[in-house]
Amino acid sequence: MKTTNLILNASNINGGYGKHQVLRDVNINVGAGEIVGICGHNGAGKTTLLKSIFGIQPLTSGEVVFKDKDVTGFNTSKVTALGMSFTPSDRPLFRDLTIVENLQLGAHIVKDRSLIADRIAEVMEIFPILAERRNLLAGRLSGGQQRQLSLGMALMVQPSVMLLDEPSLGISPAVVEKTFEIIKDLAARKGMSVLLVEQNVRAMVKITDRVYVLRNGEIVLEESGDDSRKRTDWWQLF
Amino acid sequence: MNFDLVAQLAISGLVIGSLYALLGVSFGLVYQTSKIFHLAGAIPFAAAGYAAVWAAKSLQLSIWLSIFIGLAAAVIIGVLILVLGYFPLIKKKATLLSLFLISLGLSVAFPNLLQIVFGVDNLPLEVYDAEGNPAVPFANPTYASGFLTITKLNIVQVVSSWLLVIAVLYTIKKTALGRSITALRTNPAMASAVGINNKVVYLVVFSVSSFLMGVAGILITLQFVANPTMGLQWTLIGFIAVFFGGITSLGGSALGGLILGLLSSLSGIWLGSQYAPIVTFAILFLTLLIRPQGLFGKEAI
Repeated sequence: MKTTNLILNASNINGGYGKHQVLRDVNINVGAGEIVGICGHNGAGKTTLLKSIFGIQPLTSGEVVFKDKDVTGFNTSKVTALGMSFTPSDRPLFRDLTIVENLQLGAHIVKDRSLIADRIAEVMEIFPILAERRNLLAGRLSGGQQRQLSLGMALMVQPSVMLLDEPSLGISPAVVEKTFEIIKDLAARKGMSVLLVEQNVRAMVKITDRVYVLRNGEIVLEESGDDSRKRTDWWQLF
Repeated sequence: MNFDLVAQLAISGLVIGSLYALLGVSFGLVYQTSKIFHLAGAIPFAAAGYAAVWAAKSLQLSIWLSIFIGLAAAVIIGVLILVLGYFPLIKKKATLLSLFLISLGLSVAFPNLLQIVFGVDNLPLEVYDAEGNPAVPFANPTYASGFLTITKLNIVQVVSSWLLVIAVLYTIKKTALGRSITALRTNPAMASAVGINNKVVYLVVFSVSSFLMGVAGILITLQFVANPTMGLQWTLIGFIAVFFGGITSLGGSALGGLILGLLSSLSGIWLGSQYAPIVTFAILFLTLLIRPQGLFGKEAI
């Protein structure tokens, strides 16, 4: 499937943990302003793929190009400075710090204090609940509110691409729908791209422009959002 | 009860407790950030004392330059332990036990190295006047009131220890560096995700911790002497202070050090000073038994 205005292109990605190879010649790309989903069974390599793109997990081979720049092997602070954010699935915030402190840490690479203050105000406008509870410890927020905070932290660097690992994890079904609507709205409003890993396929395909299916570390399907929304045989693909 | 004795022991306890507080914060800072049980913190402690003694004696430098060289030695050796000892193991995903064993090995081997280079003698930190006469810095004046005495050095020890402890606590609570340390301590994966460079934070933390160890090493060498086993002997009590105060709380570690110093000193009312180490370890044992999270901590190790 051909995508114009590529902002992120990961090609021939191989990687894993020690001798255990998890990713096998994976090729994926994300266009400017596009929401791309990756789904697959447990252990298919989805999280490893996101971590490899972001530079947390070293590759054994392959290349990651972001905004026409080869960022393979870059550390996370460099990749973040270029405009990529990563929100992990598990504990995507600092529970012992307040909401404001979490947002400040989200902007760790930003040095201009007034800019940080402006962005905190902007995030709080998007998520009013965070403004109401600004001095509360993040660990005391509900699951859905914690997700909002983690998205807010990602927004603090005004990313061109957000990598989101299972944003539906740990939140109630009703809040899942809302969270995905927020992600879609943010992407449209900010002109951001999103690369989304998700187990909850039905919720994910409602907002994605394109979907990849990963099985045993290999891409076995790539299709448009429209086609994926019509698909009923997801389990056979997994 | 002899109240003059109690007051004098309380003053001694305050002095020694302040030094324990400094050691406790130094150890707690490394442990909280990296989870490494950094016994090798004893090395910058001893290195600072020996380097200052060497600078004062062999180079005939002033006390301030000697202290500067001692502190520089502490920071350099502390960073070398991290870069050459811990980083390669962390890269290989070594367990915390492996890191502890390396730390233990280094802290046991270093006194032998000191013996080889400087001999087994006790070395006082003295400066020399133009005629070559030695003098112990900060020894005078001594302030006395009735039976109570306190030296200028004691005041320097208490004031500098608490100024440094407060500076570290303020940095952790109020600055971007402090937030990075807290982030790394509570959620290393997320710290990496927001672009915090773990290596840089570790370098800063080990530098600061080694500096604090160095200050404690020099303050103790000024009062006593430098000897090859001084590192482990003192820093082990600093570690006890951390567990007594609470490993999850740096402020608690500092207060733990102070209380430990006061208790071990005041135990002299009933027991001789030779029992102070036994009292200290008894306090640790009872703490782990009754309140494993320490006096001010939230969770046990």
